Amino acid sequence: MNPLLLVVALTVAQPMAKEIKLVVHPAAEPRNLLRVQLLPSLLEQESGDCVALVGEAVKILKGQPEGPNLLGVVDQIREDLERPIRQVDRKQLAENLAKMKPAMDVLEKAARASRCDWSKTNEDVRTRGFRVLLPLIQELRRVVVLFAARARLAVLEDRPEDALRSIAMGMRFARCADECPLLICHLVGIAVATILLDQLDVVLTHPKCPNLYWALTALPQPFVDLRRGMDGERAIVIGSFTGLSRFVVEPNGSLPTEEEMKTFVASSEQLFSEIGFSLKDVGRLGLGALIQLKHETAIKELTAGGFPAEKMRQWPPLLVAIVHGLVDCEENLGRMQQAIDLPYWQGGPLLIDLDKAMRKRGPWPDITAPALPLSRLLLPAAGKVHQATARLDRRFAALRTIEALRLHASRTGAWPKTLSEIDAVPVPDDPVTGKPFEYTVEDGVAVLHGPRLTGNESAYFELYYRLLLK
Amino acid sequence: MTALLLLLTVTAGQDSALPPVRKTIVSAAPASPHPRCRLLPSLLEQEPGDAFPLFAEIEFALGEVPARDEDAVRKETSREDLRGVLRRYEKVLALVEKAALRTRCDWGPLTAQLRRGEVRCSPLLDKVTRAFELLPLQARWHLLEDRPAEAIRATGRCLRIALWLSEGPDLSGKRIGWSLLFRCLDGIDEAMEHPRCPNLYWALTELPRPLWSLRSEGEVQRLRLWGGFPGLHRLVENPAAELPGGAEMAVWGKTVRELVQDGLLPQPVLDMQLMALRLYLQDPASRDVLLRRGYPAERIDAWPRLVRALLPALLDADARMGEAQLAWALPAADARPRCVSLDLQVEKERSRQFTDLAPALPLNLALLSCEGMLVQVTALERRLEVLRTIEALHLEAHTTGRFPARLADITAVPVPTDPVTGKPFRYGREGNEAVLDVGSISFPGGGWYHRVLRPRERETP
Repeated sequence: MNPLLLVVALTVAQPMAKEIKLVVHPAAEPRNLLRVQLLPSLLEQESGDCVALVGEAVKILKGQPEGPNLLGVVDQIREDLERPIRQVDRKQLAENLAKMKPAMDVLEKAARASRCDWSKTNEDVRTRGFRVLLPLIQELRRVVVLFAARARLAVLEDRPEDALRSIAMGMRFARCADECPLLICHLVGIAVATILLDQLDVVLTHPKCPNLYWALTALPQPFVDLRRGMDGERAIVIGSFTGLSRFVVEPNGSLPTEEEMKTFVASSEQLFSEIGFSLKDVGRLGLGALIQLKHETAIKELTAGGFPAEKMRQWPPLLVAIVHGLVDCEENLGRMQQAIDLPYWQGGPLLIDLDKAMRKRGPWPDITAPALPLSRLLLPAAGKVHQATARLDRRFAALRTIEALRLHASRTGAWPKTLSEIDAVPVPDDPVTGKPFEYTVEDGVAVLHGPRLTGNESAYFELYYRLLLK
Repeated sequence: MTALLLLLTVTAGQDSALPPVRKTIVSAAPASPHPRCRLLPSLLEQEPGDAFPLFAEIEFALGEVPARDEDAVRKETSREDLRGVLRRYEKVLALVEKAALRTRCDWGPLTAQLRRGEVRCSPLLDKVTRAFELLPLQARWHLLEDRPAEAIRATGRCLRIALWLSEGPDLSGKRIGWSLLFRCLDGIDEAMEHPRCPNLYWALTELPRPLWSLRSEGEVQRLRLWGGFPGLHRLVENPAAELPGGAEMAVWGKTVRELVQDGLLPQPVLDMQLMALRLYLQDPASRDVLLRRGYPAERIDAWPRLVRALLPALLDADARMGEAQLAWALPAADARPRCVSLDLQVEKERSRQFTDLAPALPLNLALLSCEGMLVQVTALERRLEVLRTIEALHLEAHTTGRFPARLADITAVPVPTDPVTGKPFRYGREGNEAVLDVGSISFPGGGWYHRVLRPRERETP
């Protein structure tokens, strides 16, 4: 292979730091600080369920029960969002959005609904475990495109405040995803917020864009709370072994009957194959031997955790092995939770190390490790989700800093030399490092930089805003 | 198990007149990563559904308990009394526990009623306070019965209910939630004294932060403001909207009377003749304010004088509340000067009421003190961080056999910082004793602890 081609290929393949260039205008604090908000306020809320209403809107988009299927139009709108704003055909975009009106009317109601009821998902997580289906959560990504496009159209039509209003309504869906109890839902919430923030960057370049410092400050911090998701991940682990969870929660309870054990064995075999732990790899005999070999160690480990040794000696070895695997999962989830509860600069590196350790966790060479590597098979890559959350919070903090800069520029006519020169409003720290953003000014261009914390994060983690003052 | 006896002295700081309290605390086992040791109910324990409808069932069940027990749950009770109270309220307690284990508490319908001015507060929540107060009692009972794990579980359910009430739009609910939260933290403090209480550092760390969200507080205040004067908010967005009807206007008078009764508005606003005169005199000024805000002159002139007077007053109060809400979104140290400045403005307006052409109805005087709320909420956060710091010290003492010389020497877990200063709490070691000084002069009401922790010799398991 041509070495030059290889270099080019490698360069293309390597992820790049996110670099956003904006030409912005000075903007003073608005007289009414609440005139612009980036989430619908309580005053606007109506009693209702956001999730159910999104379901209704998606049916309309799919042409159910009758009507044209509009999903193709949604795809066209999404393509428009990926183009630079100057290349967007305004008329076409307006026409496409007009076709969405029936769905948008329902989505407007959804954005103002007082609750996001994920009860069905909660129940599925507990009873179906990792087999839980989440069709609606992915639809949030689809519907938020419509709000992002409406914001873009408003910018093109010189209505920046309407654009901000659309972004605010869309943000409600990010928060709604956050209320769903799984890490994948949080990732959807982050994706939804990111789609909208990309449009917010566009709105910021509009000469009439009001200062958004306070609107951004009023948003929940952190914007996505992973604790609920971690709770759901724990429920998934236990829910995946329906019927066995009682031995984890109440180890002193009655012994399983022979019939129950047969069901456990059958369902466990099916589950193992579904989660990628094929018995073909080790063979039924091999697995049996492994479980027997680790049996005493498992009892010892579980006893140390408060399980009654006498009772466990009456359990079949497979049950001991599964409970050992589940308790191991719980402890690792607990460690992950601990890291998530800390600020990113403390917990982030811990979580990445934990993720790595989980991927390697198997019955060997650690003698105390369970025979069944459930931690490796069932636990989420929480470190990656944590990184995504931190990246989103960093973006919000960077935008707040930009608004503080615009505010300063409205008073002095220029960028400050350092962030500490800004005295009109408090300048937020970078939530990734816990320190102020790196900031420089060269040739009138202000550069705001959020560096990687350790070498373990991908280059996407790094954030640059290059700002030219008009 | 290695155990340390810690002597804890709580003395009143300069900001409070609390009497000195001496407590004996036994150190805890190391923090376990096992998620069993947690405070709020987990998803696995929860039942799908809405807790709010259960409150009505609780009220009904309370009606079946003899009236003589009305105050029993609020009194300091002996072990026997506690047993009796919990037995008599068994059915109520079961319902409260059921509610605490629901997946959500939907305040939507009540919020809608408040916004429309149909209710000013929910009488239901006032009635069920007694039931919620059973949870801290139950926690104490479990502790007395030597069941710390059960006590922590009951405290967790208490926290769940308290946090839901804090998120709700109802003032009674918030008052109850506030009191419950402090009682929950008291319960945790008590549980930490038990020899078999596990270390709660991570369980405390896992709680939502801030415990009491002032973000929602500001939103609720604004909702209540407009809800007290139904029909006017629709004119804000659309000046051509339908004018408020008779039923809506009837609520306005009721709201003003309530605000006067609560001492939030001055008595003279109830004097109809005086108010009519003020409306007449200040009408041009009100009209000017509305014109400056961009309302079309022809619409303003079509509105009754009362609407022209109320709308600027509401907009002014709303903006003031909004400023407080935004200040609360900042870290305490940044928020405080803003809150002080906002409160000063209100004080100035209070001193010149009825003396100039200020809004006819000084609704901005009815707002809560920005600094007062900030201080209370920060005190709650600080209380929680103190408990976390103590648990971090316990962990270090458990590992090394003695307290660290500095908080920075704790390596087992990250040490919390004081939410007021953003820096670690003042701490020192004097011999075997550790002193955690949380009192603060610079932040009145923000703290009141001066704790001396003394380890005793290790016990053999």
